[in-house]
This record gives sequence, structure tokens and C-alpha cells, in this order.
Amino acid sequence: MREIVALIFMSGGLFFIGFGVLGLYRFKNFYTRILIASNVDTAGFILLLAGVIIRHGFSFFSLKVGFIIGLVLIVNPLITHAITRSAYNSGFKIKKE
Amino acid sequence: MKNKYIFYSQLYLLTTLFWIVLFEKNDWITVISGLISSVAVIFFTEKYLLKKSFYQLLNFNILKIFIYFFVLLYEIYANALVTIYQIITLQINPDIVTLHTDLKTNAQKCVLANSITLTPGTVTIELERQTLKVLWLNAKNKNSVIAGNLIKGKLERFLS
Repeated sequence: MREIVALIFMSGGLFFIGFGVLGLYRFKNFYTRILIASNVDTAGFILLLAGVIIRHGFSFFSLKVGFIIGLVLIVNPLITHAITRSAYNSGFKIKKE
Repeated sequence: MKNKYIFYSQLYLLTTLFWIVLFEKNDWITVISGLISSVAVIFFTEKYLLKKSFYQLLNFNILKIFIYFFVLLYEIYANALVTIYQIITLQINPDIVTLHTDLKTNAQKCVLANSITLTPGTVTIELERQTLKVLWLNAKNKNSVIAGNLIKGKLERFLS
């Protein structure tokens, strides 16, 4: 039973990651691509690691994976913000699709 | 004064939990050495690195953080489904809007800006005093009040 729930969570994560990658190919500009990218690395990644936690049960290993989720939630927006801000400050224009 | 003791006991508990999980043991020696080293680490960080107390810089409450985490998860997945719909139909209008926030401390504003970046479809570009510049995938309205309610309405209410 637990394995089935874990597989549902992991396939949900793969669903978000797949649509994020599809969006990277459908959009053509820099700003729209960076807006889509957080679909992959937050929405997909959290569900994938939640599936790993449920599958392994409650142990030290799953607590460590929980710390990884917290670390990603803190560090990930900094990376996206740094890339976008440097593009904006160097005068990159927003184009319509 | 009582709030200060509660805040520091939360901080010591969190750092001790981190120590125990990294050592993968739960006997008495690990717990006691973790408590001693967390007290020492927080004392020396305040004295030499920050030159201020943690109590002035980030005043958090574990229960509030727990509730805020679930609100953030709801926002992330609601916005992710909207973004998937926009990927399929390609009906987008990327633009930059400026928002106004009422939060007071720097830590709250930092958490708000990071949460806006974390939700798919919005990225914070600049945070200066009380105004945020946000890049939005589908800018329905450029008015700062209406756009602010759409982007940060629920997050800001649970943060303050």
C-alpha cells in the first residue's frame, strides 16, 4: 500500500517536470523560460522527494531527505533571482512571444 | 522577557535535532554533546559574526513556520497547474509590475520575496525598502494594488 502511494507521488513529480521541460522548448525568450524553470525545480522536485520519504518510511534517512527539501526551498530562489536580476540590470528587453 | 527564553529554546532544539540526525544515533551522549555544541555555536556566532542577537534579527515561531509551509505548498501547486495550462495554450503576456508591501522587519520581507520567486510564474527582481519589482508570466493588471492581491495576498497575510 505504501509503495503505491509513493509511486503516485513520484509520478506526479515526473508530470510537473515533463511539462516544465516541454515549456522550455515551446517558449522562445529568456524571461519566459526562466519563469517556467521553477515549475521543474520546485513543484516537481518536492513531490519526487516526498515520494522517496514515503517509500522509505520514518527513519534517519528520510529525515535527512527532509533536510534536503528545506535546503532546496531556501537556496533555489536565490539562484533564480541572481540570474534574472543580472539580466535585467544589463538591459535585456522583455519581448512578446 | 519570557518570549526570549521560548525563542532560544526553539533555536537550541532545532540545532540539536540537526546534530542528532547527522550522527544517526539517539543515545544520551549524542543528545548532551549536541546541546552543548549548539549553545556554544549560537553564543560564538552572536558574539563574533553577527554582533547582534538572533532575537532581534529573526523572531520566528515553529508553529507559525509549520502553518506557513503548508500555505506555501498550496500556492506552489495551484500556480504550477495554472502555468501548465499556459504552456499548453501559449496565452501569455510577460511584464514587470511593482508591488507595495506592509511588512516591517527585513527577515519577513526576505521570506516574502523568496516565496514569490519560489512559486512558478513569478520572479522577484528587486526589493527596495517597501516596494517589490516582480516579473510576471501573465500580467493581467498593472495596477500595484490589484496585482499585489493576486500575487502575494495570502502569503503576506500568513506572514505578518
